[in-house]
Amino acid sequence: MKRADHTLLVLVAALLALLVIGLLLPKWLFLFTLSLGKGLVVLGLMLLLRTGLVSFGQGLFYCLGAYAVGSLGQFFGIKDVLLMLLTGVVIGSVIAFLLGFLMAKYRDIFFAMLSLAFSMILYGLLVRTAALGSTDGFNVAPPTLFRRPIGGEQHQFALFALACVLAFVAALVMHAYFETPLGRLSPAIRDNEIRVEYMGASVRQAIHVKYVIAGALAGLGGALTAMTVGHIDPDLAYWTTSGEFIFVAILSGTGSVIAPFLGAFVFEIIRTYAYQYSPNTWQLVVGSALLIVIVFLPAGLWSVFGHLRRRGSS
Amino acid sequence: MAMGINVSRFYLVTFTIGTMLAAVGGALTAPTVSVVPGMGVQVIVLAFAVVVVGGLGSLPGAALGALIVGLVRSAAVHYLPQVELFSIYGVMALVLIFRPKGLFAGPEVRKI
Repeated sequence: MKRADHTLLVLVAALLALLVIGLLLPKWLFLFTLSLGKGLVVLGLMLLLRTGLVSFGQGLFYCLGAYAVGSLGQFFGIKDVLLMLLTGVVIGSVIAFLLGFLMAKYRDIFFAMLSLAFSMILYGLLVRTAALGSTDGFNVAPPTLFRRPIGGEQHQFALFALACVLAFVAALVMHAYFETPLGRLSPAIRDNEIRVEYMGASVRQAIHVKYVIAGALAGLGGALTAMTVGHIDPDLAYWTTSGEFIFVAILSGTGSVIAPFLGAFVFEIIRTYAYQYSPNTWQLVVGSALLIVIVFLPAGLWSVFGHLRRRGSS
Repeated sequence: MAMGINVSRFYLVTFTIGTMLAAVGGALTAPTVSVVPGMGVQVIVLAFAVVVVGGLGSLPGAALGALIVGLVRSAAVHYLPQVELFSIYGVMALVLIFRPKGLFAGPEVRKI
């Protein structure tokens, strides 16, 4: 029997709940918008994880998306938020498409390390590029929507609402994608590549497509983050940023398209509070939190809901 | 398991030996650098880079990989400081592009 799929319902409810919470808690908007941006990147990473590939270099596309947004405002004077986001997505997917020809040949640790190498090369280049502010990066001008300001201190809610809608659409599209034949190849490739080839599907092509999708999502997330924070620097491509995405992906689990956003929220909240209450030992708190999740919920935070559902039905 | 090998004990022993070697490596490095709590972070990535350059499961590969990574870094610092930051990663990418499984890749096990 096919289990009833409540994802659409949950997503709509989550969208409405987020918008209401955003109105009620204006001080949290920054944190929420940032988590949504990171959630988008982790959503792409989740797609790769489902395929059995660990990308240790999503920071590459994250950083490219952010720098694309920054450069548009800085050098071309373009501030339209939709155009900026589109540029982030396009640059993420184009670079992922080009690198994908190479990446699709690699698996396991070789895939992880090659993706890491590319993101670190970008980091090295940005640090040495004086025109882009070297290690300091530069500020991103507040964007506009239809010539009205969006984001920044006063208009934070508008940007947050836009981020909510983007995350909603992305989650919905990915959820539908998982059910398509190409999407269902993901777990098949993870389990046994050779059998997938015998079935007549091209593993390399499938991985290439998934890599481009993940790159586009990371570019979008980076663009959103750049607008939210208002500042970009090469650290966005440093391997610790990519490591953070993997950290969040493990924390959330690969069970549902909602999981990455939940994981990103929980991660940001833990980190913010840990930083506030124990500034010198916040890594200890964050690390312990991940350890607890791995020991008690090996399938990630999302598996809590699976346990609850099973308990409810029995 | 079916062959009478206790898999979890095997993992335990493997992990213990690996950890022991890491501790010895740390002890040997300590006198030459200043010891800080975060010093392990850099080593994680470097160790992975060495293993990937050398090839998984190959001892000569690990030795050669370590030598390549160490020398490239030092040479870059000395001769081309502009590329020092990503020299190791550049070398790793080059090796992987021409030898996708590392320099000393062993035979591949395929699960059908």
